[in-house]
Order: sequence, then C-alpha cells, then structure tokens
Amino acid sequence: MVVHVALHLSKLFREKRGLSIFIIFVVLIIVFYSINKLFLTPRSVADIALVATQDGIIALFVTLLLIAGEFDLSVGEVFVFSGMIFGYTIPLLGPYLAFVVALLCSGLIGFTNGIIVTRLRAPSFIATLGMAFFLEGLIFVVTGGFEVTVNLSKIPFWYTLSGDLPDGLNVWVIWFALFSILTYFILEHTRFGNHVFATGGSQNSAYAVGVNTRRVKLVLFVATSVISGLVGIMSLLYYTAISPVEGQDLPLIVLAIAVIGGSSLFGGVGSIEGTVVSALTIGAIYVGLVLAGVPSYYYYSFVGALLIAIAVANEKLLKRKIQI
Amino acid sequence: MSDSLERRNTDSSGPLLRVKDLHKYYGNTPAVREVSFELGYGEIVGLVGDNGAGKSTLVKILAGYHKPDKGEIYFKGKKVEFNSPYEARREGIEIVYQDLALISTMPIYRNIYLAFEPKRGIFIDKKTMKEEARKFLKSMGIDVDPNKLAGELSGGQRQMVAVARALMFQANLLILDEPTSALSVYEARETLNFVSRAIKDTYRGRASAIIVSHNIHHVYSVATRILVMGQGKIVLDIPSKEMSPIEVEEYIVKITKEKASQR
Repeated sequence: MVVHVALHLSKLFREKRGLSIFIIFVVLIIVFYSINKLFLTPRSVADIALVATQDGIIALFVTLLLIAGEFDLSVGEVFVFSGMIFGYTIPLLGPYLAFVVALLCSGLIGFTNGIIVTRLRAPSFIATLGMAFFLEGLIFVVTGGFEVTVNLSKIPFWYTLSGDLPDGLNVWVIWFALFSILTYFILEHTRFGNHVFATGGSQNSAYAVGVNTRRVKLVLFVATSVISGLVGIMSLLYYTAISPVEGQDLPLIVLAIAVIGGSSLFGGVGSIEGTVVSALTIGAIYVGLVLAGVPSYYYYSFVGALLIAIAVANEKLLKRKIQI
Repeated sequence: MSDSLERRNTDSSGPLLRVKDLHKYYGNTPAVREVSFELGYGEIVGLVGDNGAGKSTLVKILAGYHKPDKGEIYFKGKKVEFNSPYEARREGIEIVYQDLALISTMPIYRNIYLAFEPKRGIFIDKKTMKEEARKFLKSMGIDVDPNKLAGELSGGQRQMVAVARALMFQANLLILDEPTSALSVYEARETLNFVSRAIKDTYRGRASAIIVSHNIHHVYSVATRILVMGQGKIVLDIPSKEMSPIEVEEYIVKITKEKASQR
C-alpha cells in the first residue's frame, strides 16, 4: 500500500515539475503562519507581493529564455541602465519620450545579446555576462556612482506603472498578474510557445523540421531586455531613486526563481505556473523569516539551499523519465 | 494542416526530382560535386557509400538544411531553392535524421505538428493536434499514446513516429538519413518494413523515398535502385536487381582503396 502510494506520488512529480514548489509554498505558508500570526495580515501579504512581483515579472521572461535553452545575465544592468536613461533624458525629452527612448535602448541591448548568441555563436553565459560588465562600466561613467532620481508620482500615467493600491499593495501586483497570463498563453497555446519548447529541447532537431530557432531566441532576448528595462523604470518611479549597484544580484535571483519553479538550465523544460509560485515563495521566505525573528542574512542561505535541492531533484526525475 | 495541403498539386508527367550538377564545398574541400540524377514517382532508392562520401551532405541539401554552392534542383517539374528546412517541407520534402528525429522533452503530438501547428484564431488547436495524431498513428499501426514525451519511446518507436510524421504531411519525397544506425537488429527491421509498407502500399505512386545508410543489407531489403557515392560524386546508379549487396560492398571498398592510394 505504502509502496503503491509512493510510486503514484513519484509519477505525479515527474509529470508536473512545478508541483514540488507548489507544495513547498503551501508548507511554508503554514509554517510561517504558525510561527507568527502576522504572516497573513494584509501588510505582510503586501510585503510579499512587493518582493515577489518586481523580480517575478523579469523571471517570467527569463523562464521563456531558459526553456529556449539560453539565459541572460545582463537583466540587472539593463534594469539600472534603462532607469538611468529615463531619468537623465527627462529634462531633454519630457517623461513620455524619455520612457520610449529608455525602452528602445533596452530592446537594442537585447537585440545585441541575441545577435551575439545566434549569429556569432557565443554562449549566452559569456555574451550576457560581457554585456552586463559593459553596461555596468557605462552606468558608473555616466552617473559617477550617484543615484538617479525622479519624482512623477502626481501624474496619472506614471501612477499606472508604480502607484499604490489599498492595503499597502501596489500596482505591480496587477502587472505581474497580466504578464503571467500573457506569458502563460504565449508559451502553452501559441506556435511561438511550441517553438520555444522545441528550440530548447533540441535546437538542431527543431531547425531540421522547420523551426526558425534563431528568430525564437532573438525575440526572447529582446523581450527579456525590454521587460527588464520596464521594471527598472517602474522601480525608479516607485522608490523615486535607483542606485547604480541595484542590478547586481538581480540576474541570479531571477534565474533562481525560474529554476526553483521547475525550469531546466539545459532547456526544453519549464512552466510559467512554476515561476509564478516560485516568485511568491521567494517573497514569502523573505517576509516569513523576518517575522519569525530570523536575521535577514539567512534569507540568501535559505533560497540557495532550496535552489540546489529543487534543481537536483528535478533533473533526477527528468532523467528517470526520458533518455536525453 | 491547412499549410501542408496547399503543396499537393502534383504534376506527375515528369520525374519527381531532378538534380543537376550539384556542388557543395566545406572550405576548399568538396563534399558534393557534379551530382546529377533523377528520381521517379514511387521509387525507393538506396543511397550508399563510405563515411565521408557525401551522402549526408547531399540529402541535407535536398532537405533545405544546407544550401548548395552550385547546381540546380527541380522538384515536381519546378525549379526550387530552399533557404531553410521549413521551405523544403512546405514543398513536400520530408527528412528523418538518425539522431534528430524527435525532441525528447516534448509530447509526441507536439513533435508531430512542430512548425506546422494547426491554429484556431491566434492559438494552436491542441485538441485537433491530439486527436489527429492519435488517429493517424493508429492508422499506421503505431501503438503509442501521443501525450507521452518523445523521450519515453524506444529508439525504434521514435523512428517510426518520425517517419509517420513525414507521411502525415503527405510528403512526396521522404528522405531517411541513417534510419537504422541507432537501432537494435529487431527495431531496424521493423522500421524498414514500416517504411517499405508505407511507400509501396499506403502512398503508392505518390511518394518516393531515398534511404541513406552504410548498412547495405538494410538498404537492399527495401530499395529498388541503388546509388553509390564516392568522394562527393555519384559513381554508380543501378537497379538493385542487377548487383548483389556483396558486390556493391566490394565496389565501395574498391573505390575507398583507390582514394587511399591516390594520397
């Protein structure tokens, strides 16, 4: 009987990679709530959302990129760079044109990443790491290491990007929900999504049956960059300032969110649902540890341990199921 | 399947495929040179030769994977130039590679429709994909669940599903590149019988096949005509009845030795 149940469970986990993080999420909610009843108050939920959504929106697109077999270490510097371009060009161009220019610059960076990877055949690890260093240098040259500040909170348009909602929430929750739905449908229900899975599953096989694998990757590099730039601007608007060093941890945190959510670093496997739950879990850990009275340094250790445990377990389960 | 059906206007008066003076170089090394041949409707041709003879390069040119440096290809009476495998498939040339047949991490039904997914509005029509794939696989005598991942299949099943996919899109020319090299003896026989049955019975007169292999005995079990390649050229083109597998093998060994002695 026990064996039977165990076999069934093991099969279920193989079929649904996002399931492990969902269970961990539920367990953590129960544990954190039983430690401190403040965990599920609106204020805490809003804090969880704030942590989960900023990184989560970028992680959605990094998930698509990972499934297509690539990743992007430049998202953090694009995040800052875009905020910087936005802040610096407002006096010249006005906020709306500055917004467009910042997003165009972000897209151009993504396009360059994509060309380096698909045409010059550099591994995305090297291409985007190089791009991150390049941008970081540029950011310090331009800002001299100082923060970039803006204050547009009174204007309705900017409110839609970073305004407050009731109960301490902000509109990022809505953006996260919208982008989650959008990326979910793209991945699961469009030709492009099918080609994303195929490109990461086996680029040569996908190309041989007629998938334009270069275009798939190029589009994803551009989209990831534009979204990172958008979130950079949203963050600058919300906090009214962005620091040149703010993007340094970001690429690795979003990568961790995607992998904890079930995406494979080897491509071909992953889901938006997994990434959404994973982003919420990361937020819950952050807030839960604080409320449990654990020193905040433990947050990174906790996330690190979770990352390794889930990545190892998922690859083992996948290998048991198919011959790669 | 709307995309795939448009290509079915076949002009069956001339040959299905005519290749004229095809050349392909890798750097300065010719991989394929002066290759000319014709292929009629309903033919099953075995393309054999030693490693590095140019077989694989030749079929990859026909399938749009490589572009030739020189030469012309006429398919169904029309001159064609393929810029990608997608364009070749749209014209009705399907290729099954030994190692690139299916994508392990994707379900079988998604593999089958890859690059030609049926759509409903802006979304792909998964329901149709699953149902049609199940029906078609069953009609071809392949007993697998299309929801399974391709990586869960045995090597033989994978090859058969890949061949079935090619036939589902009603290819006029089916190319099999080393279809048996990764298979067990039993699986190889099953796969070859499957191809032969499909071309001779199900798709009689509408489709032709080129089977690339360096296992001459496998080729002989289905091919009616043999093309032998050596050093990038076609050096022999005969009906399979006129020469035994052993004689063809000896011929290949002879030209390989000649090449070695020229060095």
